[in-house]
Amino acid sequence: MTQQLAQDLGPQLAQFQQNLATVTTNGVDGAVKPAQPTQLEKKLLSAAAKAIAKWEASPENKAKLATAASMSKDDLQAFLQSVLLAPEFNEMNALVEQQRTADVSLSSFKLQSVTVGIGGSLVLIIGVQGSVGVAVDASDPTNFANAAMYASGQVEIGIDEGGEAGLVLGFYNSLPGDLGGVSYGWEVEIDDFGGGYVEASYSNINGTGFLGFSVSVDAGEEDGAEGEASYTFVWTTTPIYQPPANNYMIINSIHCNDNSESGHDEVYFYFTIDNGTRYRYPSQGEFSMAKGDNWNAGRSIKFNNQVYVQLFDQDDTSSDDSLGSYTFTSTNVPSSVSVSGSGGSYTIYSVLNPTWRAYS
Amino acid sequence: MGSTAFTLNQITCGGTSESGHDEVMILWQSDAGMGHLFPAGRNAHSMDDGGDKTWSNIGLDLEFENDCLVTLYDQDSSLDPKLADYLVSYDYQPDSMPSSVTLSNPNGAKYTLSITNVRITK
Repeated sequence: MTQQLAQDLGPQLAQFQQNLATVTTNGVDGAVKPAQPTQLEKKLLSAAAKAIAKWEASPENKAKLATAASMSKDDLQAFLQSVLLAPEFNEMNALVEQQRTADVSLSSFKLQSVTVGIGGSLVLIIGVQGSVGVAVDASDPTNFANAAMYASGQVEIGIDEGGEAGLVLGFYNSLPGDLGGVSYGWEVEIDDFGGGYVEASYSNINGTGFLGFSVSVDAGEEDGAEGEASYTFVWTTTPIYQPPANNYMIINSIHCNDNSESGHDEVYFYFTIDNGTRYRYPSQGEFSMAKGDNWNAGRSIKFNNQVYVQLFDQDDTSSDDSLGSYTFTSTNVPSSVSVSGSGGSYTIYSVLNPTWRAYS
Repeated sequence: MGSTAFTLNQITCGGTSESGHDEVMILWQSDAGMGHLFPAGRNAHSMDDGGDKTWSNIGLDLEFENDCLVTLYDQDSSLDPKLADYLVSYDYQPDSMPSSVTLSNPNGAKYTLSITNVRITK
């Protein structure tokens, strides 16, 4: 079996596994025990379990599920998104909308994300017990414009889970891009649930941050788990993690010599590493700058051969304006370099492979 | 290469990026590696320069070799680039570990980061 997915998920996967290794179940006992879902939410969870069971009953679907490890990341995302569009999930999708728009007395949390993933023994896929899948915006669960891939690994208490891979659905109070981090989960007992396994998850913020519920029907999950700790990583559209490289530079600051428009420029920059991944800083938002302003950006960048840096002025009403660009190479990282564009002029102050007095 | 560890203990708000409160999230990244959001689950900490000016007992232990970039964001409806606001950031480096640093953004945000327990291993 090829591990195309693991390759596509890239170095972030190794980082995910490394972070997961630091998670322990120590926080489980100290955190708040799960609340019961409301009647409406029980209906939703029950509908989810029934949808999974019905979908997995199809040999064709089961066969497709078994090939997940050999799918590319894009293929897996498309496959899982297609699951949410399958007729077996129509009732569940309708109940998602009911819960989302229900009076607060009928719901126990604000439903913002629906996740669909493959869970169980994923050692051959992502090297951990857990799930890998797609999170979509609950306000429009069949619109995948803001969908995000996630991987969630588990550290469990007193069990030896080993069931075959199956679908896992989740209903969470965070937006798709916001699901990352450490959480703790417990099984939730629901009367007359029809054999599904429901788990409530909480974040580790003082043990009180309720996150949502997950549902599966895989036999391997029905193990009477007392609790588990999980670490979830979300592959967002704005990459942050940089893989190891031979060179390390820091853009310490950016100085505005002249802004490109009256008032302020709303400055951000892209940096493209070795003609590969393009990153943005800040990953969200901008820094307002006028003539004479200094932005201590402090953006560290790891690269082997070159980094292409592009400054922009964010514009709400038209495309963003270029403020200039510069290509830094392993043999050419000037301590200061001026760039200009769209009438603006900026100086970038950088350092390559710094040495630190504190370590000498 | 040595390593530097410290504890981010407190954030104080001296001005917000918008009227009312900023919903403050911390994104930290050591050595350009994995980005981490705090608090987990993105339960942002609501801050202003009045009654909610101090976020204390954060107790976030951080460690790095070259640098640790700490960025504060105002979480609006999500961290979508078009919807979230960058507030301020500070790049902690082995030679630059102020116990307290005040950072400003022309959008009105003004925050002071306070750290303790700086440990440098050569």
